[in-house]
Amino acid sequence: MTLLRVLLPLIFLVSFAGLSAAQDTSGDASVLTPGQQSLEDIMARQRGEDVPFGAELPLPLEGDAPPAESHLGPLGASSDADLWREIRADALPDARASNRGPAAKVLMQDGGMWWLNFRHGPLLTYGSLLLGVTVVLMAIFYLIRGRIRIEHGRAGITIERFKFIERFGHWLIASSFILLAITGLVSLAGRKLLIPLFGHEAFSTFAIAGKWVHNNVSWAFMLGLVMVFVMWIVHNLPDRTDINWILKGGGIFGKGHPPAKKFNAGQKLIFWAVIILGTSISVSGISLLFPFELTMFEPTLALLNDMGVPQLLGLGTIDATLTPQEEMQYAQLWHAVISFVLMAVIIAHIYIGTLGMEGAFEAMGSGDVDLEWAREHHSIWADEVVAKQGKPASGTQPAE
Amino acid sequence: MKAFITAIVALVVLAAGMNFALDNAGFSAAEQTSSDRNVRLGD
Repeated sequence: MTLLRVLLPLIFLVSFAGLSAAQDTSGDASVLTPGQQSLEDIMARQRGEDVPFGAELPLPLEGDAPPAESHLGPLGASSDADLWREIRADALPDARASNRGPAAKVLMQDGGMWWLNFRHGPLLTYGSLLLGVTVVLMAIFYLIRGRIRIEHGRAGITIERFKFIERFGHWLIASSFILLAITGLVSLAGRKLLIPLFGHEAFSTFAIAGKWVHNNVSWAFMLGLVMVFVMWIVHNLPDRTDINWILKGGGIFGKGHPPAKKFNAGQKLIFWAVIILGTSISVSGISLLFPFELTMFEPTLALLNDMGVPQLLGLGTIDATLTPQEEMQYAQLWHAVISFVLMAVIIAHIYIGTLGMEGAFEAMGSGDVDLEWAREHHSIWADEVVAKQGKPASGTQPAE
Repeated sequence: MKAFITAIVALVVLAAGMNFALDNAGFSAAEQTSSDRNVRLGD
């Protein structure tokens, strides 16, 4: 019995010690660390005592922070880094979206900032510079050379240079290109140049109208491009007269003009620039008109890799895997860069066809040109026309 | 300048016509980028 009296308190004490040991939670996520609040803190606040919490509590010392897997660490609930990494990399295996299209499931696309910065920075700066330099060069050329006159004066009789359908095709592509260039520049430079001038609301109306014009007038440009190509390809194939014309600089400086057919080498360069650059602008434009439908850059980059072009240039293998948005961004940049080049070419073309050369505009105005102008600038073609008509004045009309 | 005037008229007709045709063919931006297939609207 005496033994029992001694054992019972001992068992009680041992069991109490066991309970205390069971409550030792070192290594458990719920262990208090500096910065966390305890039950005593909560009870003290309920008694009305002033107990600091949150930002007022001292920050944990380095090494005292709870492990990353803690449910209530300093950052609150644990963040699923892998999930966000997958979202950022467009690699969610089971993503679903109510939107249609291949880009609907891409929530983050970090190439967007690079594109935006390039679009508002170098593209706009160097594009504007190109157009400005072209205008300045034309002005300098005009000051040095002046207007290219018909050296021997007008003959007073005209021959037909372009038929109605040819002039229709020219004006279709010309008028649509001017509209597309203006509206394209508005959409590119509007945020930087026009919003500060007119304000957001006025620019918004202008930009919406400009977008409608740009999207829908593009079809007229493409039709004009096809017409011009079909009608004039035969006259624009390179031949030996072009070499002589180029060697003599087209007779721009000095007297006398190198012989040329219906189109001289300079006009052939304009023609091919319009056809090649215009086609490139059209294809990239269609890709932008129907987003995510036409993939241009991924197969092109893959083809270049296969051909070893970037490797030859020391660039290594280019990453040819593009997100749908990157496809669109490259298409937009390509569309704008090539358009700037074509705009520069067309500025030079407009100059020489109007202010720069006497008698040139009549070719596209009325369709008839003075015989002397034709003999000076397109002597081979003029001789052919005259020979076909029997004698110089036969079938020609007096110049007005 | 008849050719120029005719070209301008053709440009306007083409622009309006293509816009009308593409809108009616379901190529508007709104139709291309939204769908009610996976969304329950109403109740």
